[in-house]
Amino acid sequence: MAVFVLVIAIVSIVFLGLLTYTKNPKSATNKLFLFFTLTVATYLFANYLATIPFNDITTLFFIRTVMTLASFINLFFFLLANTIPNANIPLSKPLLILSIIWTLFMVYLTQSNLVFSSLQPNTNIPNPGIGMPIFLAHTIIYLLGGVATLIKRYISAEGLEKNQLKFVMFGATIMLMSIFITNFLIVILFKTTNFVNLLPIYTLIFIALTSYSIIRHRFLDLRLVVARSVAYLSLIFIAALIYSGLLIGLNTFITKQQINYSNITISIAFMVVAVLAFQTILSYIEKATDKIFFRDHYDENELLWSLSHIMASTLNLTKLTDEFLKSLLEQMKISYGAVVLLHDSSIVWVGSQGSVSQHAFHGKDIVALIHKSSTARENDERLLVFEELSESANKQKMRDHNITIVIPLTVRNKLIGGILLGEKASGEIYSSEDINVLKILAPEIAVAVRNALSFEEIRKFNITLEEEVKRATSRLRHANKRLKELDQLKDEFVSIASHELRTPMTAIKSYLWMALNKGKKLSPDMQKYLDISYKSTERLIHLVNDMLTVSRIERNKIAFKMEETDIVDILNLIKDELAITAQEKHIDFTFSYGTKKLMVKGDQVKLREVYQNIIGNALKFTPEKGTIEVNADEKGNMVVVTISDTGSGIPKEDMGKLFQKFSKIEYSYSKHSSQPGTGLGLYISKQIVSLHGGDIEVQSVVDKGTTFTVLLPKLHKK
Amino acid sequence: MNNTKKYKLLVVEDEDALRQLYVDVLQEAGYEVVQAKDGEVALKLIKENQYDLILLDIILPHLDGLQLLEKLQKDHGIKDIGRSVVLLTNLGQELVVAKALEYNVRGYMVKSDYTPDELIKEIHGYLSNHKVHSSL
Repeated sequence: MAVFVLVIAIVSIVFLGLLTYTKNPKSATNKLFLFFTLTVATYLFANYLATIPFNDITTLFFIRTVMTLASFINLFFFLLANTIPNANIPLSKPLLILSIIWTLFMVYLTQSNLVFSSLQPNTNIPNPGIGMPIFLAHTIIYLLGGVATLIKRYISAEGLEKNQLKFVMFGATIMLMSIFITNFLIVILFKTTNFVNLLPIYTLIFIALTSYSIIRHRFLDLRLVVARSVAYLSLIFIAALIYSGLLIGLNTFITKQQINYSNITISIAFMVVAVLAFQTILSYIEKATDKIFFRDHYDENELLWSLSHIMASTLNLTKLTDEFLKSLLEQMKISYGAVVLLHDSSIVWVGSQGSVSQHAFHGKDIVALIHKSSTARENDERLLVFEELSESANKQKMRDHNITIVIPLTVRNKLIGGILLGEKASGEIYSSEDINVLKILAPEIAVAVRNALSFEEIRKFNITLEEEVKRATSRLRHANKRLKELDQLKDEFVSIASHELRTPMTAIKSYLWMALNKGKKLSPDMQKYLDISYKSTERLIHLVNDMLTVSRIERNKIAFKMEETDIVDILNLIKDELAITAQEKHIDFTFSYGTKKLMVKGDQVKLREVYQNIIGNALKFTPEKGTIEVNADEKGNMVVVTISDTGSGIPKEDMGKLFQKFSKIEYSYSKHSSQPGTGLGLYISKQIVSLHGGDIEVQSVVDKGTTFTVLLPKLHKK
Repeated sequence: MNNTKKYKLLVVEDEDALRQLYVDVLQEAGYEVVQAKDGEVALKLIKENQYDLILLDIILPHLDGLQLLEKLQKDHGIKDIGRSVVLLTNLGQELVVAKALEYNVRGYMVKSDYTPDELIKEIHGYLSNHKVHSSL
């Protein structure tokens, strides 16, 4: 039984070491762990040999070897305690080299007669030599150092690493301390080797705790491998158990032979080797036979993985279907295939691969087959397989088009198309494995295609939108250009019109004037008629002039000749001009301002028109014997001119319309006048003053009179 | 009215009614008046004759008033042609006026603003050298 435990312990620990190493051969932890486990395994074996009675020299050699191996275990444990679970040994190089040299020295020491000089007569208990204290010190320092390091790291570690370290620490410490006590101290002190054979149990404790750490706390990322290995080891264990049971049973009850435990042990060992070899040989033979028997064989998982990867990696419809089909055809060894997309029962898109042209997948038959495939049949298989179909119109269609399989593509129960596949390149039929894989793939590729389609639609919509914007912009640009042309034409038109209208009017006016002034003496009636005609013509000319001005103002075509201008000068000129008219109407016409110049920056001619217009209006609309007062002064930054009359006044509700074009107010305001205005004068005046940075205000009381205030910015002398 | 010297005037006007009016009133005022009904005729006359004052319209057939001035200055070397020209037109836009004044014309008159006797008065003013100004 002891041997059995020993075998299990050795196999387990070697297995654990190899497993760890193969998982990541580059990591220092994994390397050290391998050395550690191998040394422990050898130690176990050497320890076992040391307890078997041989001749003295051999026994002494094994005992010394156990000591040598113990030195190595000490070294590896110490290094491991520092490294676990990192990829590099954190110790400095000199320290590392020193510890190795020291260990080599220990090898010499343990193999010489310095540690164990000889065996006690007739026993396998050794006598300690003079080197024993050094070995003792070595072991204690290394083990305590290792344990201390582990405890220190355990305390500072956090989370997962803490748990990992905890179990490894317990395992290693229990094992090593137990070895130290039972296999060394007790042997030396009590001269008995009765406890030496407990050794494998300690090892198993260590293995169990380390394994627990691996399984529970993902120690060294070995969980999956360990899970598999546990099953495997269990298999070996059970096989060994059955085998040994049968063997002992046979020996005892049938052959009645004396049980030879060493034979049994060796026999079990062979059995274990056989079991271990079995899996490897089996998989090798499988591979070899697969090559011969299953040339079309593919790894189902790998195919699904690679196709899923393709489906997840692109939104480009063409690329998606091309790569999908390519990969599918290649791995399943299918001659050709196509993805056909439907919209309202017509084919909108075909992507094909393999030895067939795209045109083969058009037409009513294809649509009918895809529809047929999507309607669930009795066995609920939404798939058409040529061989499985009973003779029918659809089977004939498949035969006509050389289609072996039709897979419907549906997204949320809506049929969007289908995958059509030709026959296998080898001429074999599709296996149930193939069909299963295709069934798994169908919904995935359907969703991927749907996504690619949506993406395509959005992309196209974006392009359309962009084009739409471009077109609209171009239309706007064109319209703008056209407007500019029209504006230019309008300019020209106004210019021509002014000329063309004024020319005949000038002729009429001039000849009327001639008739009135240069011809024969006219009868009073004739005089009156011609007089009215003349005045109307003048008014017409005035109107045309005003309209021209308005048009220029509104098109920003009016140009001012800005110069330093004295408002007093302008007012004086107007005063002289209008004095006679005022006198004729017996109007008290007073201008009051000092001799001081009132300078503004402005167009002299245009400003004169403004004052002429307003003062002229006042004159026209003030009844005989009324009063007109013109005041001019500076107020803050403004030159302020007020024109007050005792005319009929303007009703409040009409005030707002006063400065509008063709304001009817101006007409009614001027109805008392023999010379009605054009309805544009105040509008023009307001615009001109505004363009000079000023304003015109008006206050009026009906039947009392009106006051216009013209404000203009004062000239700023530098 | 003024017999000491008979001034020679050229009236360039395409509108028959107006041209006739100007010729009539100017002759009655005692001036010698030559008339031209378009730019080309005027060009020919100006090249061959001396005029004390030229009443020049702007919008004219074949060659407009400003083109005529340009031609006379550039092609025929009459650099100071502006000195004997009064523009008599119905165009009143600032831009046109500004352009016309670049030729250093004696005056710029908008036809519709003048009655015949006011016109005579203005012209008399220009000829007696007192008046160098544009009236708008």
